[in-house]
Amino acid sequence: MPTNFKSPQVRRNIECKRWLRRLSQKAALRSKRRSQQISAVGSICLRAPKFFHLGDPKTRGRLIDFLRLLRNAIYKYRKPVKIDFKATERMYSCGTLLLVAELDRLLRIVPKADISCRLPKNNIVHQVLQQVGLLRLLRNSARLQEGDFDPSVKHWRFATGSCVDASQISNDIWDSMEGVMTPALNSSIYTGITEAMTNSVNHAYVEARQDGVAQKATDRRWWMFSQELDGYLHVVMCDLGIGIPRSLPRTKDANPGWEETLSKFLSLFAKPKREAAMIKAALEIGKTRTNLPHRGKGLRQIVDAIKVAGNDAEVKIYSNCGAYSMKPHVKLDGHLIQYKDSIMGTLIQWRVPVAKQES
Amino acid sequence: MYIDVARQFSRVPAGRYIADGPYSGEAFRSKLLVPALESAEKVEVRFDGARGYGSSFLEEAFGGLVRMGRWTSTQLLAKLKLVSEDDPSICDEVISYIADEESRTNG
Repeated sequence: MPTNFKSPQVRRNIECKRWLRRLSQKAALRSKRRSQQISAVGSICLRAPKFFHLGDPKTRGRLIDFLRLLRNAIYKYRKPVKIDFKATERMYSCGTLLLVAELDRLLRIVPKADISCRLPKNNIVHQVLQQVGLLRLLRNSARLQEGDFDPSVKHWRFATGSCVDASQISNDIWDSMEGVMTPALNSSIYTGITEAMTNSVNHAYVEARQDGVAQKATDRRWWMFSQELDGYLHVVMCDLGIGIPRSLPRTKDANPGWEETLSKFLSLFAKPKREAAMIKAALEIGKTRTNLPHRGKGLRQIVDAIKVAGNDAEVKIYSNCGAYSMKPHVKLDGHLIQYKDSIMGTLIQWRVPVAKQES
Repeated sequence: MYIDVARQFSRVPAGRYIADGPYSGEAFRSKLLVPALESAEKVEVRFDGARGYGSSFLEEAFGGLVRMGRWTSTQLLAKLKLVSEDDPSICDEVISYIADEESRTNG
């Protein structure tokens, strides 16, 4: 009978070496998709994607691959990690928020993680990293003069919290919204944001995320960006929970006929669009899931938040592999997109036209 | 008696249950609404001044009053005076939550 003499640390090192070997073989085969470099056995250098964006399937796939590698490196193998932003050219709010959320979560779970970064060549990307707090998370002290920031960067604001408390979003964020929107739109966006928080806290973390990272069930965190750019206010909010496609079909606390109701609704959509259709189902029949008719109205309010914002407004909900987007002037019942890769959580993005603000 | 939500409770009301956060519908109901309804014949609730109201907050605060079983919807609608000059639709929304909960509990 073989006896295992290896300590957990030695076993972890062996496993890590094998993982890195597999990665490098895969990377050699797919030279275009090389997303990591192995600088030394003891540390891992991860090359950040060129674009941080969730809408385009290619850039989304690369970002999600990168985030998976980041989780493995920090949590599973507990290796020093260096993120190389040298080739990063553009950071969109959706992809950037996902990176901030993943990194913030990992560093709350592994506070002593040895993490650093290589700064980007692109000055705007450097500014974004600083403005949204990523440089601080990555323990990098290279700071630019904030007064010189590009107008596309200086209005980015960040907030995070773990309960439904809008006071966790600082007054300057609310005030900056008040300054550029009508009272009706302001109140509507407030409602959308707080209902998104309520959904994250009450529904997103009811089961494990299944990403191999053990997390306290009590940490029901959300992350948020707001940004005023080119005459629009962009608000993005996300959680790293189980996502709507996993939470909606749950039979716990559901009405007896819920499974049949849901499968009847989903049968109207092609199977490859299943997860996107789940988001639509949550919007349209989600309130009938429990025998408590007062529940399940929040997602509808999240989408309806833009209805008073005029024709140029848009709301997008990304949840796991699915996405739903609605522009009031294009299609009121929304547009569905199914992706190959899952963001493992839910990200909501509002875009509303606002009055011009002086930079 | 009157309750000014923004001044006496919070400018940022949100969430359903006390476990959700400090300014939830349940917290508003138990700290301000129920004591006011118990001690006064008529209670005026002023909604202006807060940043906004989500359905979770309003439903739990007002629909929750019916679920408590202390007052019927008719009694509540007679006792409550709802005021929202900035957004009058809030008052209609509150009334619908009270009426919906009454019809649900009475089948």
